[in-house]
This record gives sequence, C-alpha cells and structure tokens, in this order.
Amino acid sequence: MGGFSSSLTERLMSLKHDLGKYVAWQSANLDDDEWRDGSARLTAAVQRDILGTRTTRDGVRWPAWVIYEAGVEGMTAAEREQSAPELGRIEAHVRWMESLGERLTSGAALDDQEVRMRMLAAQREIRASLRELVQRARRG
Amino acid sequence: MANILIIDDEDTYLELCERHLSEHTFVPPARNFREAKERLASSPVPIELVLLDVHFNIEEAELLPADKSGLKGSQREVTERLRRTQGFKILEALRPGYPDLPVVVMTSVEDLPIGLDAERLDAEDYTYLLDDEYLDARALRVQVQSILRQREDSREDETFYWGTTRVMRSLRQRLSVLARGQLPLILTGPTGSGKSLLAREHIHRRSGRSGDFVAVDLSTLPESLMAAHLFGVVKGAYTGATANREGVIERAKGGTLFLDEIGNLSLELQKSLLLVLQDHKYRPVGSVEEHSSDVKLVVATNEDLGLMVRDGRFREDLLMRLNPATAVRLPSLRDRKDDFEELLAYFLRRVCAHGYNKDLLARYAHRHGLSSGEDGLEVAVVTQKPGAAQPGRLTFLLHKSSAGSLREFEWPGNFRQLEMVLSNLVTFTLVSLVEDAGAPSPVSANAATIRTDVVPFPVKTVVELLRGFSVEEDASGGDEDAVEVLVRAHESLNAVSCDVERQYLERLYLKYDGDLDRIAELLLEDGSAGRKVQLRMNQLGIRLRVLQRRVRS
Repeated sequence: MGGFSSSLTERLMSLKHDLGKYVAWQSANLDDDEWRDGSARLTAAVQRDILGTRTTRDGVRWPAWVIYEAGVEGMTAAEREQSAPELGRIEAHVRWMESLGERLTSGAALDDQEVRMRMLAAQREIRASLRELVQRARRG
Repeated sequence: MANILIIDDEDTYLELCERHLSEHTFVPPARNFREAKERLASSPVPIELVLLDVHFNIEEAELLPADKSGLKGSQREVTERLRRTQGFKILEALRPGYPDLPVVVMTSVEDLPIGLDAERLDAEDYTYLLDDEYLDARALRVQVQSILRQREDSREDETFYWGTTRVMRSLRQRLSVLARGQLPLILTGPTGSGKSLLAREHIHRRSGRSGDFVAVDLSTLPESLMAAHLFGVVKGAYTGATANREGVIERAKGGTLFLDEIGNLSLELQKSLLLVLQDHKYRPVGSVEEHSSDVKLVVATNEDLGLMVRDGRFREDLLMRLNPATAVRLPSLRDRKDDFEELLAYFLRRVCAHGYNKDLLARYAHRHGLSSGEDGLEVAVVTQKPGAAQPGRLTFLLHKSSAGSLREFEWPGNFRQLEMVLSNLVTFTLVSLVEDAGAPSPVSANAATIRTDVVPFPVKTVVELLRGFSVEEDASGGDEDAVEVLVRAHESLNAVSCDVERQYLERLYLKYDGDLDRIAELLLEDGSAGRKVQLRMNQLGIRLRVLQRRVRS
C-alpha cells in the first residue's frame, strides 16, 4: 500500500477538526461523576455536541453523522481501505449515535447509565482514532 | 482579570470561555481579519490577550489573502485550503502591528496545516499553541493564566512606565515594531523623558540581537576624542595612542549602539557615521583597514535635526539614512496628565525599591512590626486615608493639595525630576520617623486612630521640594511688565493676590521713576492720589526706600 496522498491527509485533518474536536466540545469538560450519575447539564452538553457538532453562522446545526458523511464523501475505496481500521471504528460509533434518534433528541437516552458510559467511550474513541489516523497519514 | 478578544467565525470558543473563564472580560468577538483589526484598533479597553481559531468557514471575500490569483489549485480547493488555515493568515497579518500581543492559537501542534512551519510559529514570541487534541477549558485556563502572569511579571520588570492611555499604548506598539527592524531609529523628546532608558530596556531587548547594548552620550565627549571613542584607534595613530583600542561600534557589534545627543557629532564624523549606515564599513583612527560594522543604531536628540540641516550643522544625507520618517517623539511628563496618578505610584515604588529609601523602609517596617517577609514591603500612595491595614503593605498618604501641586507642576526635568522629587520626599518623610526615636507616630495624635501602616507626606515638604525647582526671575530681567505668580499649596487666594499686587506696584514704581501721582492717575484716574498709592504700598510691605535707591541708580 502506498503512502497517504496530501489531499487525503488534508481531508482527514479536516475530519479530525470538524468531528474529533467538536464531538466532545462541551461534554469532555464534565467530570466522570457526572457521566456516571447523569445530570441535566450533561444531557444538554451531549445533545449540543452530538446533535449540533457544528453550527453554521445562520444557526443550522449539523449532527455528528452529517459531519462524518461530508468528511468521507467522495473518498475512493482505496482511500477508505488505507484509512482502516480507524475510519471503521469512527463510523461504527457515529452510526450508533445516529441510531439513538428521537431518544437522544428528547434526552431520554441519556437517562440510561449504560448509554451514557457508551457515549463517553464513543466520544473518546472517535477523538483517539482520528488522532491516530491523522498521525499515520502525516507520517505518510 | 484581563480583556480578551476571541477571533473565531463561530461562538463555540466564546461560549466555552464565558463559562470557564468568567473572571475575564470578553470584548465582542471578531469573525474575520477585518473585524479583528477593527476591534484591536478601536477597543475602548486595552486588549491583553487574543484567542484565535484556525478554521474559518467564512465567505471567500473575507478570506486572507485578498489577492488569491497566484494561489495554486481550483477555486474550490484554494478556498477550502484558506479556510482551514485562515487563523494563521490572520495571525501573520496582525503580528507586525501587534508584536507584543499574546495570541493563543487554539489548535494542537498536530492540527497545524501541512506545510506550515511549526517551528517558526513556536519561535514567534507571544504566540502559543494550545497543544491539546480538543479544546479543553481547563487546558485553556491554565495557558491563559500563565500568559497573563508572565505578562504581569514582565510589566513589573519594565523600567519605563507606559501607562494605560491610548497614545502611550500605540507608542509602545510602534517602538516594538521598529525595534525588530534593521533600520536606524531616531528618538526625540525633552530631557528626562526616558530616551536612553527606552533604547536600552525596550528597543534593545526587542531587537532580537544577541550583542551588547552600548550607549554613548555625545554631549559629554570632547570633540577631539569623539572619533577614537566611536571608531576605535590603532597604536601610534597619535601621541598617546600606545595601544590598539576598539571603539563603541566594535563593542556593539551584533547589538545596539545608542548615540545620545547626536546633534553634537561634528560634520566630519557625521560623514564617517554615514558610511557605517550605508556600507556597514568604518576605519578606526589611524587605520588603513576597513572594518565591518553590524549595529542597530538608535540615536536621540532634543534638537530639531531638520533645522540643523537647514543651518548646515547636520548632514542631510545622514539624516535621511537615520530614517527620519519613523522618528519617535516621547511625550514630556506635562503631557501625561491623564495617567499622572499611575505614574506617581509607579515612580514611588521605584524610589522605594533601592538604596537608602529601601533601607529606611525596612527600618520603619521593623520598628512598627510591619513584617514584609522576603518579598519586601508593598508600597502604595493614596490621597484619602485607606481602609483596613493590609499585611506587608505601607501606604503613603498624599494630601490633596500636594497631589494637585505635583500634578500641575511643570516638570522641566520630566521623569528624572519626578523621580528625584519623590525619592527626596520619601527620604525626608521616613528619616524623621526612623531616626528620631522620640518622633510622634506617623498618623494622628489620637492614640485610638494611630495607623503605623499609613505615612502621610508632609505638605510642607512637598512645597519645599517643588519650590527648590522654581526659577524666580530677577525683577529687572525679562519682560518688565510681566508679573510672576507662584501659587504654593496651602496659600490663600488673598496671599496670592497680594503677591501679584505687590509685584505690579513695584514694576510701576520703577517704570515711572517713583512718581506716585502718575501711578495714581493710571490706577485710580486721579493724578492727586499718590498718597493713597503710597499707603497701599506700605500695607503690602513694599520697602519704598529700596525702590527709591533702585530708581536713582
């Protein structure tokens, strides 16, 4: 397998910025206790991070999965293969977030401690995977 | 607490900062370079820190650079690339105008755009990368606090007081920019306004040059020795030149050469200095060999060099080489009334930190149990009796009239003079309290309100110190009709008016050769009322016999 092209590296860096940075923008600053016990503040922070990962200046909110899809759109099969396994892990987490659907929008999903802990792990792994992927791409 | 500007196209950082750094004030955010420039230039409060995002999803027209025609790739690629790196473009564009402004670039090192020289950014003073994979508020907080603390420390180290006025901030900014450049720099301003201090402590420090700072006051050098002092001399060049001796140009190699009172340089030496500036070459006295020079030249004068050129006393080509377009004029103390109180407090701290005053303060603190520890006693000056005592703090109480006298004084010697007056004021005030064991306690005779942490400056001492600098003209000199009014603190209006009247009558008496009737005609429109004038003169304590002698002589 050849090295990462500069255009692919740039795309991955953008994804790292748009998704990796903002997917845990507010909730990453909450303490572990709050994740374990749940709180209105935590619910608001997670909703903001996942349902409005990016907010445009005119107020349009882009959820995490939309950011992900925009980031990988047009990526060739070879580029996806080159970006595995990190990209696969990220996609799995993003799809799980998307699957929470209405329960996440209403906040009900986050009443469940198991969901909260999985959400925390998912956010952390998305960030870590994007970081590793970009490091690998930059090394060529 | 600091005033912080966030440059970001979204509100994400602003929201986060307002939540986690609520002790600071956030000025309205800037969404692009244009707005950032505007905010920095016109903010009503001084901006002390900038938080800068890197990715800007903004309209193409707002993206830097303005001219994108030479950039490689399709329009879409160019726009995307510029958006991803816009923060760095903004930094690059802002930096020359704000060389001292700390900027936290909110991205991690590994997020730096490809091709961006991270080392260069790291090396750039006052630019900090928030090296975190995501923007963690705690990491940001730590970084912001550490930067502000560093800035506070370095401000304390500054030996020149910049103050907070817009004029001085802009002057400081301008000097910081000029300090980094290669071109020479002219400093003008009245004596004592801090020209040499600025050259040494501000310009040289920020010049990025590793060599020494060497200062020469050309007004103190005999003309015959000037050439040897500047350019050096070789053995045998003249009688008494028993060894090679390097000049200041050599000693300042790689550093900064400060020539004070440049107007004192002879025309011949001006030519030699011109060669240094033009070709970076010079010849020591008596040498046939050319030496190379590498100095940042800063010159100072309180003369008008343009006028000297017109008078043929200064070479026009040298003046042009000295970069007159960027000459910086330092304001006099008189022109800094807006921040006079802060200046007073600053110089008071300075004069208390050294020498005899420091010793007196330590003795006073010891005697009154104002333990100061290793950090020394903190000194403040106020015009109203302060609230509760604070440990390790001594407050000097300045009577309102004294504060007014200091503020309104002309200060012909500028900062040097202010420092001297304050130093004497502290010495005279403390010495009586420290060395006279039987002296009364510093504040109030009422034992219940004695405050040993508050020391009043005696009004009389302030008056006497300022009077020492007043130049009273000889009555016979200058404009014969002029009347001098010297208003002193605690002097009644009646006393001032009597003083004016006395001087006026004396002048009239001399002018009209002692003819009291003529004076009465002038003043009272009654040529026979000379007796009334004489009576008034007697009341004012004017000694007519003395004046008669002067008329006769």
